[in-house]
Amino acid sequence: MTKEFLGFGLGLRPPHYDGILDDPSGPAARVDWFEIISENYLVPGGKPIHYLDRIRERFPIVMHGVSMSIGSVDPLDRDYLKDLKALAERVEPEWMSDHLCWTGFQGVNSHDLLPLPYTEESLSHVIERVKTVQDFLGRRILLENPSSYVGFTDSAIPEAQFLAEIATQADCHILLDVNNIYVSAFNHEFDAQAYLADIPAKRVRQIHLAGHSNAGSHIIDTHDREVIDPVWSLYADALRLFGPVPTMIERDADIPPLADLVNELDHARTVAGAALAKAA
Amino acid sequence: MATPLTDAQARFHDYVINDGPAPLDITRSTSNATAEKLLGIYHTGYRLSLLEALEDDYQALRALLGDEVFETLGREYIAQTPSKHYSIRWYGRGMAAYLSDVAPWQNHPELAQLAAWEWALGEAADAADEDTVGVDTFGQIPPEDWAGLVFRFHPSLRRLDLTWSVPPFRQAVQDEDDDIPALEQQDEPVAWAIWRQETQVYFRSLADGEEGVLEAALGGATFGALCEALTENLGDDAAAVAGFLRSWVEHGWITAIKT
Repeated sequence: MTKEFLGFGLGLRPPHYDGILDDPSGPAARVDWFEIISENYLVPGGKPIHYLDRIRERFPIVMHGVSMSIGSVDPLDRDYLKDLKALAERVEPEWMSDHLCWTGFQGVNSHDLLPLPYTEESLSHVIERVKTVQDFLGRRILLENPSSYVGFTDSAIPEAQFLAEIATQADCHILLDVNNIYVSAFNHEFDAQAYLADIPAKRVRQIHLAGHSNAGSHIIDTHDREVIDPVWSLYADALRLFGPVPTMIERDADIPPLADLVNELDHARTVAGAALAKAA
Repeated sequence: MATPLTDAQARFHDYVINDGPAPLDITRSTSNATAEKLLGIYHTGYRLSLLEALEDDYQALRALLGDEVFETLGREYIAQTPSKHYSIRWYGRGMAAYLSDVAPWQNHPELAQLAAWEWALGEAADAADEDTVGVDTFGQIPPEDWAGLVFRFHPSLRRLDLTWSVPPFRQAVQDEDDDIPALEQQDEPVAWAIWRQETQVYFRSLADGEEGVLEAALGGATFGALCEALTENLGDDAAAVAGFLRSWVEHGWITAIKT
C-alpha cells in the first residue's frame, strides 16, 4: 500500500455545516478533506447525519473516534465497534483512527482519554486488541499518541517506542498528534525530538495539530486556540523526517469562523512546503 | 514487579469516577507538579465534561435554576450516575427521573417536567430518519380498505403530558428572548407532541379528543377502531378521526399506511 497524500484537512464542526455547503467556492474550497468525531454521528438520524451525507458528497472524510478504549482491561465494546463499522459503511472514510489510551473500566465510561502505564503487559494487551479491532473492521486503524498529564512509576518504555512497537506488531498505522507530543513532552519532561526519532516513518498516515493551554506547571490539550509557534516548528521537524503526511487542525472549543481556520490551515501548507523543500 | 494493568486501571478509575483515594504510589510527580495535582486534572476533567454535556441537554433547566444551582444538581447527578454508554450524548437521559425521585428537587415537579421536555426535544432531533407519506396517499386507498388501515409513525414523534407551561418557557430560553415567561402551573394537564421534519424539531399541543386517538393509533389500532373509540367518547364520527389523520400526515408524523 502506498502512502497517498490527501492534503490538508479540518475537523468537521456543526457551526461550519452551512458555510461548507452554501458557499462551496468560499473558505471550504481550501479544505481538502474533513475529519469527523465518529461518536458525533453515531446517532440514529437527524441533523448530524443529514449534514454528514451532504458534505461527504463533496469531500473525502476520515473518521476519528474517542471511545474504542483500546487500552482498557474491559472487553472491547462490541456494540460500539458494530456502530462504528456501520458508520464507516455509510461514510466510506479514507481511514479510521482512535487513541492510545483507555476510557473506562467495568463498563463505566470516563469520557476521557486516560493514560496507560507503558509496560510489557500493556504493550501485549494493546497489540492483541488492535489486531482484534482491525479484524472486525476489516481495515487497518490509525492509533494516535494522546496528550497525558500524569505518568506511571511502572512505565518503563518511552511512549514513542511503545507506539512504534504496537504499530509494527499489530500492523496498524499512526496518527501523530504533534501538539500532543509537545504537550506530553512538557508534562512528562521528555525530549520531543527524541520522540520523533523513535516513530517509524512509514507508519505515519496522518498528523494532528491543535492549540493548548499552558498552566505553567503543566499543559492541557484544550483545542481552544491557535497552534503555537513551537508546535509549528515541531511539525516542520516531523515532516522532514516523515515526508508529506496528510495534516489537519483540530478545534473543539471557542470555534472561530471557518475562514479563520482555513487561514491557519494555509499556514500549515506554508510550513509544510518550506520543511519539505529543505528536506529535499 | 509492575502493578498489574487491571489493578492500575481499577485504582485510577476509582479515583477519577468515584472519588476514591488518589493512586499516588503508582503515579509520578514531575519537577513542575506533584502527582496529586496532575491526577486532579483527570478528576476535575471528568466532572467538567459531564457537566458540559448536561448543560447542552438542559439549557432551559439551567436558565430556570441559575448556573450555581444547576451545577449543584449536575454534580449530584454525576456522583450518582455512572456513564454506561460509550457516547456522552446519552449521559443526561436519567435527569427527569432523578429530579422526580430525589429531594429537594422532587418538591418542584416543574423541574422534572422541564427536563423530560428538553430530553424529548433532543431525542426527536436525532431520532432515525424515515420517509413520510403525503396527503395524496389517501386518494389511492379504496373506501372498503379504510376500516382496516393501521399507521406507522415517524421515529421522532414523542408524546408528553405537562401540567406546567414548559414549552413556551423553553422556547424563549432557546431563542434568547429578552422576556422569558414565568413557568406557571396549568389548571389541567396539556397533551403535547414533539416531532421532527427534515432537520427541524417542532411541537404542538393536541386537540380535544386527539390525544386518545393518537395513543390508540400509536398502539396499532385500526382506523375503524379509532373511529369507534372516538364516537364512544365524544359522540363524534369518522370525519373527526380523518381530520386528525390529515393533520398528522401534514406534520410528517406518518411514515406508512397499511391495510
